Amino acid sequence: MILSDSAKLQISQTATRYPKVRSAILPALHVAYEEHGYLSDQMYEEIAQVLGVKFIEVAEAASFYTMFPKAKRGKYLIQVCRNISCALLGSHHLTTYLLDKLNVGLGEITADGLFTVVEAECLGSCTTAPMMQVNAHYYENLTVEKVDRLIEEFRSQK
Amino acid sequence: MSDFNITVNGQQVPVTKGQTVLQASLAAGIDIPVFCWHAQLVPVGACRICLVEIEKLPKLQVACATIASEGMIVHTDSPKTIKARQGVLEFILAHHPLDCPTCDKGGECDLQNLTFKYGLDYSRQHEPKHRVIVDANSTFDDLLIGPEIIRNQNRCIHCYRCTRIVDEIAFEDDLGAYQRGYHTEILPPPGREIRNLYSGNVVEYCPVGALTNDDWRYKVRVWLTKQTNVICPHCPDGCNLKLWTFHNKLFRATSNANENIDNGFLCDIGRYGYRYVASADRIKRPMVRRAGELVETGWEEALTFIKKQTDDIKSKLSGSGFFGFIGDIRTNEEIYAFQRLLRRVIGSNNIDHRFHRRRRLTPGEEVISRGIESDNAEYKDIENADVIIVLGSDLHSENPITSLRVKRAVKRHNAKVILLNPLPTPLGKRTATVEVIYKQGTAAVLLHSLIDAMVDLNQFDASAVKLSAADIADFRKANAAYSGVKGSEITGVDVSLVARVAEMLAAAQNVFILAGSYIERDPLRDSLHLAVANLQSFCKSARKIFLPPDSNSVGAAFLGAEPTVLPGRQSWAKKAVCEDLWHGPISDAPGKDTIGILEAIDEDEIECGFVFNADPVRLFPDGEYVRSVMEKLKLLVVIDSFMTDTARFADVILPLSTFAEIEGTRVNWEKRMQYSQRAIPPLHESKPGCQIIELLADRLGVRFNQPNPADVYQEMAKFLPTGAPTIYAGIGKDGFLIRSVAANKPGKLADLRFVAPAIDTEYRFFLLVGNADHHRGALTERNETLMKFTSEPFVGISEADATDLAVSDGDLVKVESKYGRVVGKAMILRDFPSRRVLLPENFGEMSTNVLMGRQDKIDLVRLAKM
Ligand code: SF4
Ligand code: SF4
Ligand code: FES
Ligand code: FES
Repeated sequence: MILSDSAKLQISQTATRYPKVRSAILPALHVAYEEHGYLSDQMYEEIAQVLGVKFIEVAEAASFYTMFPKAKRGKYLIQVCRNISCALLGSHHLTTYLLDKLNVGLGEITADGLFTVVEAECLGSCTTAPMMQVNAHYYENLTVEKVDRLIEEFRSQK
Repeated sequence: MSDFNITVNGQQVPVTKGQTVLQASLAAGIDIPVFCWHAQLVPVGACRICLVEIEKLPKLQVACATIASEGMIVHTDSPKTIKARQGVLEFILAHHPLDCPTCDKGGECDLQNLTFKYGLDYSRQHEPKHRVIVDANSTFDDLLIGPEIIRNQNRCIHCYRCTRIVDEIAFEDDLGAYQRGYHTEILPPPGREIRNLYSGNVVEYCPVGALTNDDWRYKVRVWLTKQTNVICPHCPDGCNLKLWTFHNKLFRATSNANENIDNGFLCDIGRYGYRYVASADRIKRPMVRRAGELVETGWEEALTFIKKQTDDIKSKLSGSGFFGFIGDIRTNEEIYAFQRLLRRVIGSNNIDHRFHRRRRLTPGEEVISRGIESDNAEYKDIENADVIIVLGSDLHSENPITSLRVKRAVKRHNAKVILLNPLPTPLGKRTATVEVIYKQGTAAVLLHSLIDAMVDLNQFDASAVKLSAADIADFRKANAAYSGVKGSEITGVDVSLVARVAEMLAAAQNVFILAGSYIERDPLRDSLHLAVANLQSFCKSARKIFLPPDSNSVGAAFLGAEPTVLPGRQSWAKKAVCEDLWHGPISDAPGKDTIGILEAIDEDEIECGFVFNADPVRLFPDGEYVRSVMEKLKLLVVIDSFMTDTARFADVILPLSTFAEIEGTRVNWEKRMQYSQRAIPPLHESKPGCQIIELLADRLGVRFNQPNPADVYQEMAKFLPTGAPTIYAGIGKDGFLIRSVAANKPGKLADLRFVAPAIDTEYRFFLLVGNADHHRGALTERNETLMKFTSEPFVGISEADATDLAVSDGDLVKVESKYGRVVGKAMILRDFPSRRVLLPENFGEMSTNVLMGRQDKIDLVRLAKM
């Protein structure tokens, strides 16, 4: 058992809100992700059991979305948009800069456990490109200096 | 019948409300290309190739998922739609490898064909194609994802037909689509394979070469092959197959979709089953026993040998010194000709096709008068039922395609499925509404408790059933010992569960009862049939089918393979018809059934047997007895394709051609007679059954001049119901139903006189013999492909018993009865009730019949760890 009893309870309660239990798979995945910061086959299995759906339905849905990673991530998940508007305004350069600065590879966790950098498809904020999302927040009109400041801020907050 | 019209390409097209633009157009003969759509699947609109122009709608619409509405004006071949198709193809091809020359789908690939028709000869994509690399050291990106299925992800066009077949049709979960966009991968769940009983369908319906089969790979090109339409010989479902041959070699079997029956799906047993045909173990030439050894010889020598030996026996014992067994997997023509050989030429009515059953034959007239035969019912009636009862059957393993119909009824209109079985079965997991497990041998009591519980309910509407209040009261009184708590004590089924099922039945408008092998094998089968008939009388409307054991059991019973009934189920009074057709007298000596034949051999009254594709030594439920009896025969002629356990006792063996090498007809459980073509000429020196029988008849004194099944059919047709086709050419794709006039009339209520099976303190386990997944009959054992799925026999036991005996999965255990013992590897079955052992039938290494006694009503064994 990986999921806590309270997580399971929350999942089964969520399920009652939908006419079809299948629809509760995504909220359930969110609950599991929030509790552990990553997902695993074991968690899919437990979610499937709680909801009474097939394992494979959970696994398929989870694999479709980038926000349900199967590997642990840093405390701050930095998603740099790489699509056309951001790319034209130098997002690739920002990504490289971040990786060098943090001394980490794409998708890896920094030694202090604080950061993971990944690339994302268009996050719908093209007018303020280049941009990145850190956990649930957008940081826009980025420059190297702005990125430096942000990283310092995150570090100081721990 | 249509509700309104729409206009497609200027043509008026009738529409039934709810139909999609695609369905209506296809029905009117207007072709619209598709990839993801499939007639049996819910439309998903995933591929966009079916885009059409509908006037007044600003954008093109997918024909497959757009419901047609009145007044629609549709264009399927306007410049705009053609351009859209080109666009869709360009997108698909952007990441599709240029594999056609090495792809097995080439020549029958939807993508190849549509690209050829609509595609552009250039691409605007200059980036490298996305490739899913399986093995960095290989140029091929093939991945084995199940025992038989190979995936090449690069070719996949993300139509999701495969995953939808697994989910929607088969109710299984061993294939899914992970990730998204061009990263999408079709895969089984982590650590698993795709190996469900219907797995081969995903290959057949993949529109491209992303999923391929081992059998066909790199061996032959589709355009070089010839196809023949064949009826599957592996179970009484009667699915239609296409056999694909090249230079008289079989390369694969696919579905030959028949909406009456299979809806275009096959189980893996039917799909891969043909592979036993080319098995190296085939008997290749006739054999004769000389100085104790079976040695190969020629046909002429073998026939001369038979003639001489039979003359000797005949002069001593006359015709009654002979018997014949024939297997239910043979065609009607062979069965008819075989019983004619016995009755007319040899002069014996000792003939049976029930050589694997120990109960005495219930005479045909009695079966009819007591209302205990199957009703006239078809597959579509299963779908019309709101409650389906599966009684004493592992329907999934035994009747895979019937099982799909049950699933369809659940999917389409939420039919309730009630399983009443002596053990948990695969259907229980996802299909059943209720699964009831009764104690072995108590099914009849359970049915009576159900009836009693039903009558007690408020919902029970006596006026809707055709029984008088007095009948009901009498019946309840006479059977009071089987109701309520008393019944529950016998069956082991909780009273509340019985009540729940009774409620479902009382509320049901239309019940369909499928009774399977645990009923059919039961020595007390007839009383079980009566109990089913009783239950039927208490339902508002119900149909019952007693599923036959083999692919042509219905045909065999109909065409005279039982001692006391003549072809067409004619009574003896009609024998003049036969004598007239068969140019001479037939014996009046009453024929014996299987058990009677064996006893007569034992008493030296029978000395010679003709055994035609039957293996009593392996299957008669008293292994020791049948062996000792076979030993006593002076002459045993075995006509078979393989060295069966019975053939080892033979004095002469004649090599018999298999289903692919002969033409003929078969009758499935619906009583539908279908015609099966010949795919390849006889292999080795084997001969088709009708020809062998003609040779024997000729040699033994009567020439029928009917060496071909077509000739036999013409004569046999005289015994078929009026209106039946008289020649093969008259049998259409739907075949025809040989309905029984007597069926569908409820019989009289019959009291149950239940005698509890004696329990032996020493042999504490009930023995259940069943089918293993992907394994059916001795033929699958000669099939390397099917052996990949289930390769060895097992001893299935419950978790509790395993703990008791300190046995773990795979440990060797000994199963012992009063009569004999077998040894096998333990398989611990979850949710399996204790004090029961499940053994698969038909594995040579583990003959279950040595554990059985022919007099017994129930089989008891004990277990020990080795
Ligand atoms: S593997 Fe074949 S059937 Fe399955 S999604 Fe891909 S193209 Fe469609
Ligand atoms: S269900 Fe029966 S008839 Fe159909 S393919 Fe399978 S074995 Fe053959
Ligand atoms: S391209 Fe970066 S937000 Fe849209
Ligand atoms: S066939 Fe209509 S979208 Fe695929």
